[in-house]
Amino acid sequence: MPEVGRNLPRKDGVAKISGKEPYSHDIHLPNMLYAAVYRSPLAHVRIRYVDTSGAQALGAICLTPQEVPDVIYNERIVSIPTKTYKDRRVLPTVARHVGEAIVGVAAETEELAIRALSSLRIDFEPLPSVLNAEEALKPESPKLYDRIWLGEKPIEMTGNIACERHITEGDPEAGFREADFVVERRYTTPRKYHGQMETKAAVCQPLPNGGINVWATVQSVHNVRQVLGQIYGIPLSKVNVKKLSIGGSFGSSIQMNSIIPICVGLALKSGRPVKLISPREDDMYDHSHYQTEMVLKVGVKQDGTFTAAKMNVIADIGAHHIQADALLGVMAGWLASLYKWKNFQFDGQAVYTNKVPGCALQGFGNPLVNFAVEQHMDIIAEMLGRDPVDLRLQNYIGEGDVFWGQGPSIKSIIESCGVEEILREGSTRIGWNQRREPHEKSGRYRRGIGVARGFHTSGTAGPKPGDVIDFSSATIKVNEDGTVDILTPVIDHGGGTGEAIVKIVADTLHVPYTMVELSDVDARTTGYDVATHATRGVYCGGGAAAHVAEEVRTQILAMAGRILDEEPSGLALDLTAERGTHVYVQSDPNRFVSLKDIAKTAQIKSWGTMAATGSYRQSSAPPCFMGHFVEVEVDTETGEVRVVRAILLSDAGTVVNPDLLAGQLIGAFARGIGFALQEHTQTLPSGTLNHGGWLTDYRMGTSCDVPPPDAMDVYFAHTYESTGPFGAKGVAEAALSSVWSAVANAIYNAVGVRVYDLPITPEVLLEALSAPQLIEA
Amino acid sequence: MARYQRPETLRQALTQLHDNPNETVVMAGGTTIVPFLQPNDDETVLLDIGRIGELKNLICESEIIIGSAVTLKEFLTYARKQENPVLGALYEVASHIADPTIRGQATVGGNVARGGELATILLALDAEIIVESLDGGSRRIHLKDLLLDPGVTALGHPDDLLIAIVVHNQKYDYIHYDKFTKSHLASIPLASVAVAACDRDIRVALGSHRLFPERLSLVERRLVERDLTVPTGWGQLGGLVDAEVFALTDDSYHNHIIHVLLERALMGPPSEVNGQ
Amino acid sequence: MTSLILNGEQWTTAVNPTTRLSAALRESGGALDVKEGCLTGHCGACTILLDGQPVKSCLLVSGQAEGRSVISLKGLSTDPVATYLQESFSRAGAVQCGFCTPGMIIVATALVKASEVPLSRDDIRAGLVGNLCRCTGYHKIVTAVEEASYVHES
Ligand SMILES: Cc1cc2nc3c(=O)[nH]c(=O)nc-3n(C[C@H](O)[C@H](O)[C@H](O)COP(=O)(O)OP(=O)(O)OC[C@H]3O[C@@H](n4cnc5c(N)ncnc54)[C@H](O)[C@@H]3O)c2cc1C
Ligand code: FES
Ligand code: FES
Repeated sequence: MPEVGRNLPRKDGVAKISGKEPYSHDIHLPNMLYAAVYRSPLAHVRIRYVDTSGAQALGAICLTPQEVPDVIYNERIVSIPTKTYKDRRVLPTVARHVGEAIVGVAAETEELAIRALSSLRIDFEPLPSVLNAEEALKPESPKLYDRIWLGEKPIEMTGNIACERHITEGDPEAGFREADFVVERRYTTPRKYHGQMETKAAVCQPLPNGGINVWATVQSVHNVRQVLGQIYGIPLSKVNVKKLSIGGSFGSSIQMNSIIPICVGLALKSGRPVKLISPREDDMYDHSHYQTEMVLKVGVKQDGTFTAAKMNVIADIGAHHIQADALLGVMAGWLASLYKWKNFQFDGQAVYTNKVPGCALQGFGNPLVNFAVEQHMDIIAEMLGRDPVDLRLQNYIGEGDVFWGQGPSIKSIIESCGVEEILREGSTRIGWNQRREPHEKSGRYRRGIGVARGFHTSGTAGPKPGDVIDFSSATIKVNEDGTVDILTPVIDHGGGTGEAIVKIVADTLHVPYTMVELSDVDARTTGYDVATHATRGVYCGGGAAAHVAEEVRTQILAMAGRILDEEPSGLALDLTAERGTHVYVQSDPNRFVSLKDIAKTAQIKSWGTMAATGSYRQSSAPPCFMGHFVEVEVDTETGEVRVVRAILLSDAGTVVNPDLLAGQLIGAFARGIGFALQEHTQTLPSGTLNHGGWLTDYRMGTSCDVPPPDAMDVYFAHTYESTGPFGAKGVAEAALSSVWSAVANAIYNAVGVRVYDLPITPEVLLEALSAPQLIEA
Repeated sequence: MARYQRPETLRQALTQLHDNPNETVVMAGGTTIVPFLQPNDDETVLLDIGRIGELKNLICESEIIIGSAVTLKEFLTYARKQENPVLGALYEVASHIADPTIRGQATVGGNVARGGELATILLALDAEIIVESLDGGSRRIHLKDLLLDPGVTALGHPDDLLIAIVVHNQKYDYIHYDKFTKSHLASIPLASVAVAACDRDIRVALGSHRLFPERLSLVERRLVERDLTVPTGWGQLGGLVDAEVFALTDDSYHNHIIHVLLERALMGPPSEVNGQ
Repeated sequence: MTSLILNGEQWTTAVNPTTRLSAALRESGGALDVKEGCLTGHCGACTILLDGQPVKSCLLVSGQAEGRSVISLKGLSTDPVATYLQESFSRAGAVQCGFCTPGMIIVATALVKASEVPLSRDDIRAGLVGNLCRCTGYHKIVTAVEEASYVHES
């Protein structure tokens, strides 16, 4: 029986359930100093002078903006260098948002470090600030930067536009002229906080040879290694970043978090190991999800076919450019790849503001676009008198169509598609046919059913190299007792990527799951992997592991051939209960040798180790599809919304880890309803956040806020992606893509009021309910 | 760092408060204090009253007496066994404060002193508190006279310690408490309303995340003639409530929620679920 | 100086009695299974048993634990309920990133033990409300506790 598709205990399960799994918070080195960071109290200030004498008198080591290397970098490596914008230093001489790190201090204890912080004297020159994108776009508005860099090329800034993208396919204007109806709406999504349970942390150990060891909260050991090497001018062979478990991330460590290079700077300066843990409040000032405004215009014919779509996006990216260019590219791609618009135009601007820098959050813009498109679909369906599910079935992009979710340079032909199965199964399970129209409902509590569908790409690879880097690596070796070691750089966010890779290798080599382990690795012992992002862990990371395992399999057959005195081509690898993993002669199955004996023999006879290292780029970036059918109950008196039932349907190709896949879908749904109904990080006019670090207003869902287990139902579509390992695609980010769209559509079905702005808090909904309703379209 | 003292007896605690009234911070459970301790604060003395036996009383006779250092969990365990309606009402409130682990640490006194949810219901029950200081001795104060300003523990003397809460063990016709929180993530509710009625005596208290709980005296006066178990038209009351509530907050949603809570409290249960 | 019984053994630490307990346990007591996620009492990652009762160790100063029993997850390695919960968490897929897991298992252990009848799902949800998990959506955690509770009572 194959291991792929079975529910098996996590490899890190025992360590995690017993509290023994080390996270970066838990790394403790002898003679270590504790660091803390002084953060800007103002939204925009020039730092004239930092007086560290008080801190030094306490024995603290300080790192000031004057002391860090004058290197401008981008903290995220994903686009190729010529497409990478750069605007930041380890510590800035101009702080551009409240909470931007200005000075790092390290001392013998956490307490001393905090004391040292309060004895710093900093001479600030306050600068005018701008806190929203609309303002920032005005010519008279204060500018955040005079100059940024695109690759090695300087860009002189005339305003606050960090980058723009304009993508057109076909003739949109002609398309709109052809349309019977044109529907245009404005949608907004707020800043949000990732809310991962582990705040960002780093430990850096300086080495006698001038190198460094780093343990930190990362989504890619290699990217952090390279950026650190670049900043501190250390050859990569002397920069090591360890792979560790992370306490959740959801995109917030897709870039190197700002504390990591500060920790390194302090360690290099002091010559001692340094540990820096972000308190929760600092963490909230370190990363956020982009705020967007999207204007979507769609042309449609009476028969429900589309003639054109046009989207204008303004993304408020905050004070730093963490790959906003890629963001705009994928937002265009998500839109283009959802429905057959025929003609298409995307105009996006990423705008700097004096706010916490925006970065990816599960879906990298996908759920945002989905919020606009999937509400638009319902609006159009209502206008045409069509069933919303039917309209989707009529127009979705599926098998045989081009998918370019990851932007115009990454195109694939869709080979496996579960959209129809998802929509039909979901309709049946939720009782779509019994759905009633909003005007048929009355009373204080009203229920409504909504649908939305989404997807995500599996990785960002493809037949040709694009603007985005994507390949993964693995080293696999057979030990002398027939067990197998995997050295993979792929970080597991907790969703089970590690187990998936083990299963894929186990099945390729016909070795039981229990005999394959993931080695403790780091950037030094693994080949490159871009990051666990873009839903690529299983498809790309697992794909590379499968590829390398094939090579090991060839070596096993060759070694077995020497033992059995047969040509490898006449041999086969198999796993049975009696023989375990073994190689047998195809023409005479009674002649066999076990993997254990092969490995032992290879050692004794000095033939060598059966092992391979390799890198692999997938030839496609197939979409994993998703559907959400949701029932809500609206309290029209308070504006509260409760999700009472939800059907979560995914098409992940072959399901590698069924229980963990279900867990991913449910977990993403729980976060999604939080983002739909309550979570947002508001910036006050002072530039500070309104929920200084959790105590007050940032509300994440508890066990009592998510719908009870009985109210949720999970379904996996039956598809097979032949380009993926054992038919698998990804799922991770797809799981969030359509949650809030489905919630918004369900709210509309309950009360007949559409809310175009997230989150749909009780206040917002109540106000919408009491406002006079505009007639749709 | 702050210093720490854990007196064994009430007298030791009162002496410390008396001798250093300005530096001393009384810590009962500490749930509202510990997160805010600053490592560079060398002045503060934390006076841990958590283990003083004299503050741990639980009595249910003609008066119900709850020692200030009784944890919410201890109180819940006790109240559940008593089959007393007043304790039952307090039980309902206490069992929904924060979360189970915090209830194991947070105290009744700490909750009342900072105007938490128990203070709201206790106001409606017209509770008294026993305070004591070395100079002032032991005194009883009406709770409504204690809760003056947000953030200010308006005990009579700077060195007053809250010893216990006293509630009359009387029969009520109607006790009601309801709160509105935006999520279950433990925190002070956006608004809470408590009503207690006995014969002609009707008390309405309003709590919120921003204000110390207070009695709505205008509303109370108007309600005197009314039987609260019979739903009546909201219309006559509405304007009055607004007048009193609008003076408290300028946030319109907050106001609306207070309105809703009061309406529910004074008019009986909400209508049933309707619509698919 | 603070002395207490940590996971069954007498332990004395030189940390200031106003140091938060979670920091004292992690830094001086080597109890790295006590996680710190917020330091404001909201996440529950730091939950320990204090004299057998679950509390959030970031909301206490060390002095408050003086002379009392403090148990972190490590200290429950022979506890039958905790051990069963660990297995049921593992079986149910209730662990993703695992950062919330030690706190969850501590609270769940106390919850299961405190009840004389098998807990309902609603009881469990209410019992876990002080422990945030951002990864799982709680569903599988609730199922795991339900199973352990059922086994414990029967
Ligand atoms: C995560 C979280 C969630 C919360 N949720 C809720 C909630 O849902 N509802 C709610 O009402 N509260 C809530 N609170 C607030 C608080 O925890 C409770 O009100 C609790 O009961 C306070 O009790 P304590 O013993 O911890 O008080 P402490 O923190 O020890 O003290 C509180 C205040 O009262 C003073 N004080 C305490 N005892 C005395 C005394 N005997 N004499 C004089 N002064 C005294 C202290 O000096 C301090 O100013 C929450 C707090 C947290 C951290
Ligand atoms: S760290 Fe203690 S509750 Fe979060
Ligand atoms: S498993 Fe990640 S927070 Fe619970």
